[in-house]
Amino acid sequence: MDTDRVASILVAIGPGVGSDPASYPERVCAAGVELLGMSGAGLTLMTKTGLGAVWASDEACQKVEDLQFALGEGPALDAFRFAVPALEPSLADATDRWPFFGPQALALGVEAAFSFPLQVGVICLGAINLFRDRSGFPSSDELADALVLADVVTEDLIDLQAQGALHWGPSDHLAQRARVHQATGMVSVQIDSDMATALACIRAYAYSNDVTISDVANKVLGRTLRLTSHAFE
Amino acid sequence: MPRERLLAQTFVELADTLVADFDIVDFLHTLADRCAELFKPAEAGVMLADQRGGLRVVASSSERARLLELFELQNEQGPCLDCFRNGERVVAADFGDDGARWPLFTVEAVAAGFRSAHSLPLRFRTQVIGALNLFRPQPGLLDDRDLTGAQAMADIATISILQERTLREARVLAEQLQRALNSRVVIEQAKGVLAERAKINLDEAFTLLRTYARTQNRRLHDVSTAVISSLLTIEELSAAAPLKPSRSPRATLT
Repeated sequence: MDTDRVASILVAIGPGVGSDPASYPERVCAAGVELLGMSGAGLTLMTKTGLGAVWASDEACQKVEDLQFALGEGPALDAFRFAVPALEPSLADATDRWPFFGPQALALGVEAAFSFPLQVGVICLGAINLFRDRSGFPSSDELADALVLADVVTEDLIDLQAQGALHWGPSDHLAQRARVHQATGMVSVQIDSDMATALACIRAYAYSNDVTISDVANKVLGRTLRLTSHAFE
Repeated sequence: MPRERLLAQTFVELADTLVADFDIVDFLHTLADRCAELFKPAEAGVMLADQRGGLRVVASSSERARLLELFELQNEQGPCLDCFRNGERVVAADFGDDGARWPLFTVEAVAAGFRSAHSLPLRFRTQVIGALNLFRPQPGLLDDRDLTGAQAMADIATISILQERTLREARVLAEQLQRALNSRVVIEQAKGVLAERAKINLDEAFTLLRTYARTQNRRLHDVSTAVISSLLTIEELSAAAPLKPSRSPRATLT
């Protein structure tokens, strides 16, 4: 993980989700536009049973977002359903991919669409969607920024779920920490919860005890710490 | 199994990856196991680019090799990283002589019982999308014939990721890499669930998942998801795949 990249994304988003949750989705969308040179960005939160909420960088982009959910197809829905980035460098050349969404998005000036799932393993919270008024695949640098942006937003939303846990800095970025994922699996059994709640608990425990997430994971894996409800007392 | 048959067998399995329900992480594990056997005594691991500027360990022939690769990534030094960064094969004939090149890595590698390493790039045109790493317990270099075989295995890994060579290859590459990386996370989560439920270690948990997937002819990813959502019980897993953690002949290496 490129810590400079993570840092520049954290700076672009501004205060962590815990300190100003109300403006957070807008700031994420703005960061997507500015940092990645996109013409619009949207954030969609979803549950398995349906759509949770949608934010967009501006009104035009909001229309594109709404379109996807009105039509039941589009990059955000694909990213969430298939749990992989849905990248379409040319909507004009890919009319078969989203036969309804494609032409209408083109009519709104969108030439290319890139959606990234907000996910950690089986946890999937939604997608971040980037739209551009010119066709073309993102550069490897833009792709890296977008993937890191999705990682950071995923962590922030999990922290939000942990209620009150402040933003965790780039030094303890979870994306490539296999041990944290393993510990999440163990904690999900200990507290009988889904994976997202278990990860939120690990992060909240680390925060409230002023230790790193890796430390908590190592203790859980070493079976010297069990995260049950009284672990927080 | 003779080397030629092993290589041929791996190519046959590669053909299987063209079907729709192919599981990339499982395939890369098979590839790592095959390399361990082809170049024995050896352990092997596959790392893939995370497209965020880094590498991630996606498959290994043993937990020992996996931990060494994770250590390498954490400390940002070692043969696999050099191979990925420069897109060229990196060989370390004797870790005893490589203290200056990778001071942290060599100490850890020797402690894990390894003396030499070969890292081969997974190359796709001008891009490097990962590395295949071979760790051996004795010093020395593979001969040319072995190196050709090892590079063939690295190329098989690349092809398995990039089956669709069309104009959309950048998209396919991004999707496949991200799919593989997230699939790896799902497996780690499932390992944790099993370790806690069955009070077994993570290595045993992985063996259980993989053996069950094999014997039931199911995707490792799907089996992991089923375990996480409690659709598969520990009893069902054990019945189909009895726990035999020391079944692998390579376990005698440690």
